[in-house]
Amino acid sequence: MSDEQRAKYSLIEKPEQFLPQAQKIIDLAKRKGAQFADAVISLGRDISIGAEKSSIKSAEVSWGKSLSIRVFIDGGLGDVSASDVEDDRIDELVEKAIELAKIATPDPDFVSLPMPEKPVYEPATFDEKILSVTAEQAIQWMLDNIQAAQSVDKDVIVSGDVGLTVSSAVLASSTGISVAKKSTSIHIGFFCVVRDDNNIGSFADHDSARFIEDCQPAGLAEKVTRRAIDYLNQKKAGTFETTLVLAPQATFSLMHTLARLANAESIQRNRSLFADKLNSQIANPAFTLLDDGLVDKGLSSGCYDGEGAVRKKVTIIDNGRFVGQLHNSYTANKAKTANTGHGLRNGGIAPSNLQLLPGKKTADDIIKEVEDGVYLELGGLSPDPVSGDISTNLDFAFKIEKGQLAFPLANAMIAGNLLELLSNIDAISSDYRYEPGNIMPTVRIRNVQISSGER
Amino acid sequence: MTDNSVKDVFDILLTVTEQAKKSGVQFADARALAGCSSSIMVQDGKAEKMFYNEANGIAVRVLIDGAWGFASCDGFDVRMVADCLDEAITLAKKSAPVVSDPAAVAPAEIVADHIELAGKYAIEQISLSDKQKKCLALEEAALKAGEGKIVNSMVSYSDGQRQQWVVNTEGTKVYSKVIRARVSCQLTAVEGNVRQRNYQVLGHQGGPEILTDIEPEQLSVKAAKKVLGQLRAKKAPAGEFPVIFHPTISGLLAHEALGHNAEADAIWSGQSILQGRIGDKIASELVTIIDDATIPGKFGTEPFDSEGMRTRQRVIVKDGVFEEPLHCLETAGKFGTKSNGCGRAQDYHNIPLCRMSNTFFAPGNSTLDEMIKGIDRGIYLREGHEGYVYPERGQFLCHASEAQMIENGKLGEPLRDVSVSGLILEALMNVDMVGNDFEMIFPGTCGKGGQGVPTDCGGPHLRVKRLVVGGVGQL
Repeated sequence: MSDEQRAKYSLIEKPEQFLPQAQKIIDLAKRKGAQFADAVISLGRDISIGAEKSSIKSAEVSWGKSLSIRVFIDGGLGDVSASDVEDDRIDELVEKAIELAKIATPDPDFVSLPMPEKPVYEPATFDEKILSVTAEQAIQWMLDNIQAAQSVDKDVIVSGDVGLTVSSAVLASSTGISVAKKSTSIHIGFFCVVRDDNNIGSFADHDSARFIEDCQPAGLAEKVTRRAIDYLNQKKAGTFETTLVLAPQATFSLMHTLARLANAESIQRNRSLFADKLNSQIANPAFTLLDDGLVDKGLSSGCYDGEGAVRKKVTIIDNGRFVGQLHNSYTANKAKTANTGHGLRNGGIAPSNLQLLPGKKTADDIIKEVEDGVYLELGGLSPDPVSGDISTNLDFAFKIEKGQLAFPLANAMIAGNLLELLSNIDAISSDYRYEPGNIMPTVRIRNVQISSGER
Repeated sequence: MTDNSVKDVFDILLTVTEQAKKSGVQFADARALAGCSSSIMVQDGKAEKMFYNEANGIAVRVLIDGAWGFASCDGFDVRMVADCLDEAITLAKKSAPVVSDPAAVAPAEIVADHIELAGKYAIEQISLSDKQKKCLALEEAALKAGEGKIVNSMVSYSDGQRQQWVVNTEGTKVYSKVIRARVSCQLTAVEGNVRQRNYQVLGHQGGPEILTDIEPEQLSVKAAKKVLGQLRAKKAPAGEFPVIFHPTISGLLAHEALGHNAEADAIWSGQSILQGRIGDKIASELVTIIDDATIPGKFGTEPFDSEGMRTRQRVIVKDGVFEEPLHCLETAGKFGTKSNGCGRAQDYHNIPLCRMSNTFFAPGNSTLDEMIKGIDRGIYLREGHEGYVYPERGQFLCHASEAQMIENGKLGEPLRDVSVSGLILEALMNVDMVGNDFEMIFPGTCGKGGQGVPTDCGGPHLRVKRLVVGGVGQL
């Protein structure tokens, strides 16, 4: 590592040194008329090694430094963000935020930015070891994976990427919040394509972690290649009503959909399918979904949200009943309830780590019990977030016949409504895929409409 | 940025590329971007959120012994940019010994030019307050048209400019300034226990006239009529049907079903079903598909790509024959041809990829009536919403928020939220009628490799003999 690089890293590693600058911005905003204000200074470095056509395609590094200022006047928001801001431009940018907040319509539902609070728990998010992973090492992971994939099929086409991120940020607010955070992450993912005459099979998978010990780069592309081979010889299966089994990653997509529907702003604004479903039974009593941003080393863990509010664990669906909304400071104040700490800088709300509590049967048993069905391995059901209507492709799916994965499906689609599907869930597996902080079991849904071309 | 600072940025980039040359690279380019945008968010009668964003930075890319190295940073700090060059060189040298598919670049057309694409009004010519007032008026008009059934209304407006400088070791030196603006309206309506949403968007390469000069009927009232229609619409039937595409969704078919497959990086790497098919008949002879980044005022229009190459029209499919892939410098080098200006990057933190701009089916000779008359039982798709494709398998999906049954040669029941899916080569061969009309009003952001770039798409009405419809039972 060169002296310049070391100096750049030390800025990221010690974000506290930017707190006085953030505080100065808040003081300036207050002097210029802000009733509430907060500021975030973020720094980061990404290394990315890309592969294409089973070869190294690119080696990239990017350094970032940015500033975000939010100013509230009578509840109206002026939000300014900028990259690499020199001190001599701060005054101009604060002035801009004030100008925007003054133009914005007053909003009596805005009460306050979050107040300082002691974190419920401080999960581990920073792994020093990731700082010392070099580009050479990342290139080697990529090469080892490509080689292992080619040992399965010498003509496999491997594309993928390895990403290493180090980032930090400070946040100061006019309500007295003054916090610093730093985090690391590692990601490795592959997409492999195999051919057999005119047949094409493909598959994708990834491994992501905040700590290097939670990531296993070895053997991933080989596993993906084997699965791509299973996707050769896809067949159309006609149009039929059947049982759908969601593999862990397809389940995770459903979990994300449900967490987004629990967004308190969408509910308060009447644009969520769950707007009138609070405390209603919406799924099988075995279905319990949690949002937990406080898991050690969790991919979306952190003790504060984007507004500096303390994160809390939320039960979104409890034994099939929709019970928990995800709040930011605005929606919590509007509903006169506790802030769950899911706020974003832009005023939005996002889930953190999601966990679907496991059931009793193994995934294998859940499939074995299906006489005739469909196994969706990757991709989501993409329901409309307002109506819950579903009409989408099943891109990586197998037909299940007599409890076995029989053949990969070509050009198959699913349609229905999310609420119907939730009420038709009849099994959740005891085993699951774990991506740090996230628990993804297998889920079975009865009576689902599938259409594909004629056999 | 003043003209002087335009020159200052060029000076930084020229210093970097000169330095790169001295280091013995095969090729290097340096790209600077200065972007700023403002947006207004109106919701439920209040313009409570106002945003302003600036993003300035530099990207340096080098090619050494067939390996790319890339580094980027925020801001125009000369020392940071020099560091970027060092880091890019180091990264390229580290990967060079192990690259098995060496990169190359096609000889670049040497362009030294300065082009600005403006609009009827400059962005600052209309005050933020006036833009805000117009957004509120549009929202109010939607609520009036909504028969008391609209429970949430949102109007968003954004405009911005992007300045780009590109310099490379071959002598290219270009500067462009492009402004774009976009306005959208999303409405949620409830009737009984049916809750639906719909959306209307307008966007262009141009200024705030896209907001100030429109009538509510073109945006928010249209969205209101659409969402009310959806409340009464039924779900589509499941199975295979003849399908007619309205121009608002035929462009989506051109983009998803063919455009992504024609991107030369996907073809080169074996991830497109069109690998080895240049010159082959891949579609019905009625099909001509074009990508054109030079159409005045369209959302995907720009004078240069992110590699400093001049953009132009590319005829991807002519009368059913696959003619021209979408190339960047690297793929053009590998295919032994010239770049056609499709190397686009989302921003300075990203490398250019082969991308579309404004993609469309060329018009044919049929009328909508003729298309409908020939169908006993089929689906008429209107209002394209979204889509995607897996290019390696050639499987695509197009989603329409609004549709209509066709029965016995006549339009029938309204339908909502219908997706159709197909295998590209089957679907394009099955195009049996192409309309004599044309529209291109689908401004959006196309995603690929984690990068989003502005695009538009369009076409005439289009009929496909058979596609799978994701529906529920029989209507």
